[in-house]
Amino acid sequence: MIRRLLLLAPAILLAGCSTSLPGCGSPPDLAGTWSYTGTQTGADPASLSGTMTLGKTGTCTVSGTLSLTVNDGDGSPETTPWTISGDFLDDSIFEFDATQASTDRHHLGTFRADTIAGNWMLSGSTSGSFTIVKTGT
Amino acid sequence: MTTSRRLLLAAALALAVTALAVAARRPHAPDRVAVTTAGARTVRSPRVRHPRTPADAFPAADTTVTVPATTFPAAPRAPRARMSASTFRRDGAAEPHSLQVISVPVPAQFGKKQVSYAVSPSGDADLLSAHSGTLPEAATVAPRATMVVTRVPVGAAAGPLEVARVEFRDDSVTTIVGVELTIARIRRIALRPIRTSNAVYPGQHARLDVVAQNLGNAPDTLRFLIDPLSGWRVEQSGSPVVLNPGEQRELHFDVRTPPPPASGFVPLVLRARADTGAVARLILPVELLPDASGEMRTHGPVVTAGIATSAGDSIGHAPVFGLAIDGPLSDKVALRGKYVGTTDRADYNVYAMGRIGYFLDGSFLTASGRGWSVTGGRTGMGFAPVFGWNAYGLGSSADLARGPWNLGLLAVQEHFGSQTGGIQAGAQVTHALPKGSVALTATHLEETIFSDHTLDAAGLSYQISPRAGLTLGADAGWRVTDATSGPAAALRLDQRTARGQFSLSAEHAAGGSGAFARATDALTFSTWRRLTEGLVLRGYGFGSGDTPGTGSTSKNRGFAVGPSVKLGSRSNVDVNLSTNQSEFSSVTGTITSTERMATLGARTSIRGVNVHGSIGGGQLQRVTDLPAGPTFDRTGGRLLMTASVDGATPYGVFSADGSYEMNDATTGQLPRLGTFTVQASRLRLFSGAHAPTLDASAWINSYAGAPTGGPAVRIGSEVQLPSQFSLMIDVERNPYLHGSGQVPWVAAVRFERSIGLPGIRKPTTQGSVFDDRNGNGLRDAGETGMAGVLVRRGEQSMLTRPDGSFKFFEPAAGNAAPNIDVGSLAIGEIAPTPMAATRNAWALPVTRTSRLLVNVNAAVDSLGRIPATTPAQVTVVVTDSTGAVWIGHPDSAGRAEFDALPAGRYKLTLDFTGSSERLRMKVDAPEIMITAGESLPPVQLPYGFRAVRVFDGGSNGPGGRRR
Repeated sequence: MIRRLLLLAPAILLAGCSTSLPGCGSPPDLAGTWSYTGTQTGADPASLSGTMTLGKTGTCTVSGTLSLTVNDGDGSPETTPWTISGDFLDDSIFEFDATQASTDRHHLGTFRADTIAGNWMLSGSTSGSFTIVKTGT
Repeated sequence: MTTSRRLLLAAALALAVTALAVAARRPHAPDRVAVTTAGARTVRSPRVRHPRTPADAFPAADTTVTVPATTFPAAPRAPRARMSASTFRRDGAAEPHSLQVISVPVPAQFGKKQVSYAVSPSGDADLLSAHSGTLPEAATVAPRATMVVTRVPVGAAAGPLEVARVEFRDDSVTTIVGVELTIARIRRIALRPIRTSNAVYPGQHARLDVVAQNLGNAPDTLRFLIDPLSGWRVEQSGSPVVLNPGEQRELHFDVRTPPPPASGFVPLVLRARADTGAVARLILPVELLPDASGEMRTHGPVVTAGIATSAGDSIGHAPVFGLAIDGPLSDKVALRGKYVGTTDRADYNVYAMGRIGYFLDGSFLTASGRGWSVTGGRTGMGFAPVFGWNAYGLGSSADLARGPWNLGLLAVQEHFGSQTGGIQAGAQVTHALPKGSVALTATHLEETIFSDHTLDAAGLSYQISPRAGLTLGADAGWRVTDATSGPAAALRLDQRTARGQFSLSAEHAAGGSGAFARATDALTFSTWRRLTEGLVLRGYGFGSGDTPGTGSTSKNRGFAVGPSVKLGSRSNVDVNLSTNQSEFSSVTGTITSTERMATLGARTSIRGVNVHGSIGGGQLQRVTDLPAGPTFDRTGGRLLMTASVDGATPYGVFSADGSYEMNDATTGQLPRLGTFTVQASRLRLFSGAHAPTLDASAWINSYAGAPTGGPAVRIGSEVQLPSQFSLMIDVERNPYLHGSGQVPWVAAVRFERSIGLPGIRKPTTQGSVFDDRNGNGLRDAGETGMAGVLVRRGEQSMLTRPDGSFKFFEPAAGNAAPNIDVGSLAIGEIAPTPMAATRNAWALPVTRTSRLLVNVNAAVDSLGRIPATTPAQVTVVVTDSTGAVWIGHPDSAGRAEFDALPAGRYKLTLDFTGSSERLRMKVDAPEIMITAGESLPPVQLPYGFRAVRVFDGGSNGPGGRRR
């Protein structure tokens, strides 16, 4: 049984490797420092704030870090580092994941004049809105 | 003949010989039976104590032997006989107290001639076979042997041991053969504690005293070491100790216990290690009493004032002040609260201060008593999920309980920094039922600072446990939100047995996450079941749909399932198959994320070190559907590997873990992501009363675009200083919060002092433990208090202060009396029952005892008679002034020892009821005075016959004369 499952894992892995990269046009260069603000709705509403640093890793892709403070009003806000990985779907739609351990905050936003605004979601119905504004290069 | 048959034959022979020996040793065995056969006599000898020299050997005791008629009763020595001696050592090892059948070869010089032999035991060995006999003339010159059966002495030392001597003799030659066995080495070490209770306050030293004794039969070289335990420091040299057979030695270990809040019983394991490994083990339980500051709290509230700041970052240099209070103000009111403020809110470093627990906007004060509590400041309350879940804010909350009724109230306002938002209010009335409860909840919750949501909800909740392990719950009510209104309902089921668990939760809340609920509809279940002793199957599933009324919707569903297989006693293999899908739609577009993974994990524990590893592979699909654009469907593979190891040492707990993730670049995830973390917690690099413990960690993340200034490092420590001062320092260098470039070391420092305030409280019980030197149970002048004695009262425990006093503030069931834990007293100290307390003030005496040795011996009277009654048949009776009696039974040498006689006056007498003779003590019953801890000379108690009454028949006057 275990041996079969061991064989199954790479099989699933290999089966998944078939797709094509989206065309992203000519996206702007997001490299630099960004200010992150947002809200969290749902059972545990909270305010989000932080600093995001992005670097360009490809024509359409960026990665970086996010220092995010979640303040749900209980008097002890939590600040944690997140890993950022994202890409442009076209020259204005920017999609990125903020990852910490096994938690992904999935963001989809629109870029306009050094500002990206949109919505984010966590699996399990926690979601909210966000705005990131470029503060430096 | 096979080896096993030979062994069986030897064993049968040994049993037969032993049976004969036992029969011959019966007290009433026939004295002598003789049968004549073929010129020889067969003799069964009387039970006699056999001479130990071969020359005096006599056919005897234990079995039937055949000897020539001419050799009975004793074989005359041949004139001018040649004497020689040799040694025969039997191959193989013999254990002490074992029965050995030894075949002793007849010396070759006797050839095939008739040989007589006499056997005598050596030393303490018992001879169970014949003491003499004759081997007839043999037909050939074949090797001959005689059989010797012996029982090896219990205390035989390891190595060669002569157990018997066999004298072979013919007309002209006498040869004495010493019969030797090689005694096997028996290794046995006994460890026992001197005190059975070792109690100490956390962070203080404890001295553990142990006696080690060598009960084996050879000298042993040992090292005595206490197993390392995280947070504990043991001063032990580990130097080898040589113990001779029977020798015992006291060992002392100084143990530094971990600082508060450690508490409870902790078993320390002491091992005696020889060159072959551990040969003995002793568990030494150490009780960590509630910490001394906790004891301080029992007098009144403790106020802690502190100041903190951070350095190294661009902000956070302004001082931050903290003030906390915790403890009972009086017998009816306790306070708990905290205030944190700063001189410059704009210069407050939320992350740095968060690391040392100084959060702004978290100030509160709670007053509580029996059945009530009220909180002002930052407070919150949790409601049923469909009625509002969690609500927090600035305001007040209260909880009141009376009989089966409970009332919870909340009235707060949203408050973040300088922003003030909506009102959040709620009330919940609960009535306890025999097997459950019913509650009525009403809430009005507003959220206006970051988004605009309002919820008004009311409903009933019901929970019941119809039987052990089964809990059912339900909520039903109505919700009104900004966008919609509708029913609120929830069902919960939880069933637990020894073989598994099943939980199911279903919820419906109109308005969903747009109005303080988790989702509009949600279904969750989890289960595990033990199919066999080594196989557990786990499962988890969820599904939800959310329409929060904000224009966005979301759907989530997924499940995970997998077996966990136990391999041996310490290892497990876990398999996990999972899939989950999230779909989120908003004006920006629709994202659907699907992940399917298969993971294989293994975990084991080796000598206290836990090791875990897993590898998983799967597929990640991300579909993004833009409203006015194309649909992006990106699918790719994913591989995830993790490994971790952790273990405790005397210096702290260490762990390391790492993970490596590979994703198909088309999924938008990082193609490669590696993380590695090492961590050490509760490091104790120094010893001493105020030695700090350190926590340290370092981690590095590796991926394209990662900050270049890695790794991140964090070191923190809290030092308890004298006079209730404490210093906490936490330093971190974290490129993952600051990005690439220069990464600063950011230090957060907190300095506090705690002050115990006098409370308006009276102890429920108090008293002192004193050294009762005269043993009268009363505290007389000059009898001092005893410090560090463990006193218990119900579930409360404390050590007496330097003056011997103690105070218990909490009530105890039945107003239980305090008592001394005698396990905490030294050997020779006892705790007699105290006199009744006066006004609940107890004086608990501890009396040091003395050892008394009494020598009992039979004395010859004037007629030269000596009693047949041995000292072991006499009982020594020691009676104190209150009539309490101690009984002692002398050993065969007449020694009776009384190990622990309290101080007082005693009378010593002998009891002869075990004897049929008319006996009396030959001295007047002595009286002795024992002073606490004093050593006394042995007391001699001779006994003899009572005087014989002789009547002369009245020849010397009426009534006769008695003498």
